[in-house]
Amino acid sequence: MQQRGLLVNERTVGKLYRQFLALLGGMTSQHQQRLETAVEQHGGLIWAIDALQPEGSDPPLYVLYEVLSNTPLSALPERNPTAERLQAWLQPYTQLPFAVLATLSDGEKAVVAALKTSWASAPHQRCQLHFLNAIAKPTLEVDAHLRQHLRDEIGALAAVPETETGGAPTAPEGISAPFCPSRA
Amino acid sequence: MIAIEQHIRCAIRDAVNRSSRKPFTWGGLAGYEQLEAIAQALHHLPDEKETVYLRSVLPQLDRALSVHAELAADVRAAHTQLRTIAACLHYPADEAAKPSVPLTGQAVGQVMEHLLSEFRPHPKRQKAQAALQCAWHRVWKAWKEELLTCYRIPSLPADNLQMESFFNQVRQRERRISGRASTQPLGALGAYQVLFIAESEQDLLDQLRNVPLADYQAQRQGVARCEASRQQHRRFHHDPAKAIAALLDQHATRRAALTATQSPDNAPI
Repeated sequence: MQQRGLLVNERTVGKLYRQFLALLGGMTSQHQQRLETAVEQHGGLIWAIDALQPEGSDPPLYVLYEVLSNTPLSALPERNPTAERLQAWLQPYTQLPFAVLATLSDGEKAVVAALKTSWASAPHQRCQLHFLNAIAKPTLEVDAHLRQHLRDEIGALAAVPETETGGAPTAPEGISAPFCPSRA
Repeated sequence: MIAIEQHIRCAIRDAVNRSSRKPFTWGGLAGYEQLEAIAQALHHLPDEKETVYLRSVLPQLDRALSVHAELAADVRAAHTQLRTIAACLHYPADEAAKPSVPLTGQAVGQVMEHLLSEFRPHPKRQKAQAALQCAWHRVWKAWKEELLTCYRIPSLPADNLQMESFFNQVRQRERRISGRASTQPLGALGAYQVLFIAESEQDLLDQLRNVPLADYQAQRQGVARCEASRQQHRRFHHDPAKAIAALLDQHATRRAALTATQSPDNAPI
């Protein structure tokens, strides 16, 4: 806005923005309706946890979301949380009066353990992409060696001559380079 | 012509700097294939004065390709096998190629076991394939039951990417609003942004008006806590002497308060 000539006080805007965020944070109870609709349509809910790291930020943001209604319910910024810590975070959601069809996560042990304990009767699905990533990882190291070997071989690639192809420039007497129109 | 030759030289150098991305984009293999294609085309160049430079790089390319042909073949075979594993899981799901009979976890599991038993690379001569086999065997054994749940529960996705894609949208919006490429503030405040969905401005207002005051106050304190560490860093970067003095003052006040509560005058009678 300031670039457009409208003077704003960044500190005031920042304060308003933080108040707005706090209001957003207080709206979680209103998601209940979306969950009810999902239960009506599918007969239950699917709970999932994903750890997000925008721009490698630390700590990661653990997000609990309901898959069928695509509803994020809660977020926890925490570094290396234990299964017990995650379980305590999930506790209010285990009290919801809805059937749970399944749970979903990647392979992080604490997350899997917390989901399995919190919804013990629901089957758990591990992310298949994470499975493929895990089995590809050691082979990618061999692939990196191949790239390094090729880099070593190709590293000293001759530069393109700025004059006539194939060696030192041989300008005819009295003519300065560039003298060969076809290479100009 | 010089410009074209420089493009070709750049392409050769680019081939040895191709990046990788799990699980399917393998930079080394992609680079080798790029070099192969370039060498193949350069072999067809006529023997003329103007092609001397391009033909001069050929021996170097040919040597690099032939020396590492065996390793590249091994990596290529490993990559093909990884694709076969993904195809066995039907991942990623292709709506066009949807099987007429619904998949079952048991059938997928049996095919995977069969593939695993048939895959027997040489542990020393086929290092890439051996590494794949080792990891595949270990991870499949540990995870197999939980990889197949999605075939028996309709609408259970096979992967956990839904939130990541949603968060990417949040990051795009953040960039548009702030006009900055960095979305670093999301690290601290993203917890609040991902929890919010509104269909319209009116919907937003209605939702905001219904937030109880106590919830708002608790969340406002949460926002402040999320930002505390970053604010402290900023203070130290701006004026370290003032920042440390302020912290030590707080420390001294806290110490004095603790001492006061523990003094004999305050001891319980």
